[in-house]
Amino acid sequence: MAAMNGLHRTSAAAGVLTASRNLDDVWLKLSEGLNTVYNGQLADMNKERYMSLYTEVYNYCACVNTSADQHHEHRSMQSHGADLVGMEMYRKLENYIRNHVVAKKEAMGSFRGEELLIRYHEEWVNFRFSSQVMNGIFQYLNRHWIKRELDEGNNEIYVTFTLALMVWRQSLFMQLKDYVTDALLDLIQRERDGIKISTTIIKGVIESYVDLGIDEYEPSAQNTAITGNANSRDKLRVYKEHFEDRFIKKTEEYYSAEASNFLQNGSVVEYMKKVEKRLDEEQNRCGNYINEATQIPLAKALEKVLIQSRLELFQNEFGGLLEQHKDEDLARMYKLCERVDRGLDELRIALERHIAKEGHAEIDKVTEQAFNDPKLYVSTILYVHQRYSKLVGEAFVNEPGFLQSLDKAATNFINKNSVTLKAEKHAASKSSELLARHCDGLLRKSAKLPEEEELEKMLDDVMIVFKYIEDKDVFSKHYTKMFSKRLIYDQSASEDAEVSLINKLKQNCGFEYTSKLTKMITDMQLSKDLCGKFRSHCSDTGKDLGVDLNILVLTSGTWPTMPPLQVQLPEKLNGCLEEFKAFYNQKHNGRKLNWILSQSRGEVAANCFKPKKYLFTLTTAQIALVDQFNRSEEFEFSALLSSLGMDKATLSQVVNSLVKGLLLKHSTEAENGEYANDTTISLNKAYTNKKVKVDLSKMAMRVDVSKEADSVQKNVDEDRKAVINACIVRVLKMRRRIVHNDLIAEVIQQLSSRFKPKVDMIKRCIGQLMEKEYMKRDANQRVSYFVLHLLNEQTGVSISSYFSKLLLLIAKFIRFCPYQTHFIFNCVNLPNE
Amino acid sequence: MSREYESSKHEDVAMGDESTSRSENCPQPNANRPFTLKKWNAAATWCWDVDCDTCAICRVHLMEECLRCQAETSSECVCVWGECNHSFHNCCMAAWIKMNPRCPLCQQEWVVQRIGK
Repeated sequence: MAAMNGLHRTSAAAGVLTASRNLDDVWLKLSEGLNTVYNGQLADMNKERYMSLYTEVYNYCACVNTSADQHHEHRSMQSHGADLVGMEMYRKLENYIRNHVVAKKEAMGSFRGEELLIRYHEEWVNFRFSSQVMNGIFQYLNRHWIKRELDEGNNEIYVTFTLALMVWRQSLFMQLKDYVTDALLDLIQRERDGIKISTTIIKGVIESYVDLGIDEYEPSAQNTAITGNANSRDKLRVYKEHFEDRFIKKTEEYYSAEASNFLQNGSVVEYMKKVEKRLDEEQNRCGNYINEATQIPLAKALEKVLIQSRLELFQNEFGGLLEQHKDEDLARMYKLCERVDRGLDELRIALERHIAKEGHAEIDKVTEQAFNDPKLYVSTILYVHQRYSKLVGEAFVNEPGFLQSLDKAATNFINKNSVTLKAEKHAASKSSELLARHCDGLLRKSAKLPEEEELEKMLDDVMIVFKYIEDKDVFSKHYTKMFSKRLIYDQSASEDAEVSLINKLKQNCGFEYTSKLTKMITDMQLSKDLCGKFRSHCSDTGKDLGVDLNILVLTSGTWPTMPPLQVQLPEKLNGCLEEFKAFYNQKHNGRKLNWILSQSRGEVAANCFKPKKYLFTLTTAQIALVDQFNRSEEFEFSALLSSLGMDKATLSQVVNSLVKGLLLKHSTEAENGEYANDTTISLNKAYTNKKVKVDLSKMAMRVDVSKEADSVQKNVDEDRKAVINACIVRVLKMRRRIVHNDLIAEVIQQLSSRFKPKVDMIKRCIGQLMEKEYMKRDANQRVSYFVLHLLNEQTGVSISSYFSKLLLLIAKFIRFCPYQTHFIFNCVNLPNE
Repeated sequence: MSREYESSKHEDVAMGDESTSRSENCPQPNANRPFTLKKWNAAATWCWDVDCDTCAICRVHLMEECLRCQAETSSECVCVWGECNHSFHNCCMAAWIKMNPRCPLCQQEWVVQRIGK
């Protein structure tokens, strides 16, 4: 390469004489040609003429080179001598163009405004085209002499087309640019004001700004200028500096003024429409005749003056629009505010506040009724939720921030509202209870059963509310209790619906949350099968129990605890139970049956109330009581007490239920719910009822709802402590060493899907665990803990070896089901005992 | 309130149908015994007949599946009694006797008395 360069230069130097002698002649022809090209007589430039001009240039440059070949021995000549050849022609060309351009400038220099634009545009289009032709004529110069100069890093030489543009820029554009830009901006403003303008000229002029963005210090960029490919951002320097910056500034001023004017009279709603329209217009403007690159800065500028600076105004209006349910305007506001940085923050907060307020307001309206009407309570909540989830979906396109606002607000008004406050000490769990009761209402047998699809929809609605319930464990307790009643009393309307809801709960809270419910359903199925087998067993062995017997065998521990009932059963029933027990023990091994008489009911036929025969549905205690009246029509209370073996309060309650049911009469009223020993209880022979089948069992079973809530709440705290303990140990097991605050945070996070643990409860649990030496405070750092037992201290004698194996099992187990916590806790417990 | 009333009505009808079909052979009430039980729906719970209701090996309640079974969601996890009358999960004990053929609680030689079913 170096050798070639050397050769080239020497030869060029040798040809200097020939070249300079020829140049004047050559230039004479060339300048004539250029006159034709630049002075608008391109029609005269036919192909032959063009070729001859090209040849002139070629001959001039090439002949120097050829003659140089013959003198290649003069290698010691000054190397820069070669520059002279192209340089002279280049300078002459530059001069020619400059003179031409300066003349043009003089010609249009005195014009202003649109006139100037029209002329500038016309001249520019001609000049650009002419320069392209010129560039073709001088192509040989471009390819050789200029190329070599560029290769050598000469910054002051350009490809001829670029040269033309440079000259235009220096001698014309830089002088007139302010006037031209003024004129452009005036014209654009006129369009903004609604006057129709010719956009082709603007477009053409702006393109000239872009074309002129050649970078004189970047040789490699020069070739791209010619193909018009100079559209990247730094090639737009001239455009940006002399047009875009001023344009943006002007735009800001214009719209800032417009916004102020508009807002003096117009409403914010109207203003938003206006802004929307303006944003559209400006976007189109950019697409139509301003460079695409301006799109973003222009939009930013508009957003700044039209939205960002008016954000407060929007925020103030937002609440009002929410109140008035102006969804369309809210959607518009969302679209506008979404465009600016942090534009939605305030709106999200306002939305959350508003939904919470609405929720509370709706619930306040129905506090009294809803307190004992779960359906009303849930439907009120759903009404508010549906209204706003629709809003968030439609107007705010389910933007995550707004969804979060909805969730937060719903959590707020669902868990704490006027209804829950009315529940006083059960305030925290009232919502759970009402929702569970609502489920019970839906799933229980009733006269007007909803269609399957309708019911499914209602259950989905239940899940919406369920999602927001904080104390999901309390819900589970209530739900399990009612579910067990539905099953035991055969009041469930549809097993499919029950299973469907259980599955929904499982999806939401995991397998463990519903495992007991599932087992309960299994128990029901097993009992049904067992009863069938028992019946065929009885008929096979020819035993007649004298009663249609159905028995449910429930797995203890799976079902909620049921109140015990002490009563001396009629002989017949005792016989049944013994028979069944024997049968059961045949089928199973090592099992113990406990009769829950409180949950048993039966039907009793009575023929003592003439003229009709009645069929009563009674609880077991009631059955035992009326059975006594098979012996006599009248008893003293004390006699009943001793023969039934019941305690006074319970028996009084049972007797009272039948007195209220008009089956029995008493001689004196019960005092404080208890009968005196000498009260006479007798059969009410005058009993009549329109119906033949009468259910009296409900009279006895009616339980005070608030009492039930009491018992549920009592268990909840104990259960929670166990769950928290388990969770702490699990966290410690995984982290081994953890700082106090992290531990608390982690426990809260892990348990949040089931309930919201209180910090002081967690602290108490930590204290207990340290006392029991499951964990220890770190000696160096005051507030971090580590597990004590798990790693080194295996104190059990024979158990310890197995214990380490168990640890492996636990590790595996944790991966399997993160919810099953108390087992792990139990494991850790082992060496301590 | 009204719902409850309706539900009881509904239920009466359902139960009535069943009882008439099944209890034809039941004795009818007579003048001496005005009340006769036709039908009885009794409920009972079952649990393992054990002294201590927690498995000393896995520390899980005997009425629940043992740890391993929970993790592997196997179907049946029953109780086992030794001659010493101590009881454990059968699968826990099966693993235990591979290491030590004695009862973990009383150190007597482990002999199975019965297995729950």
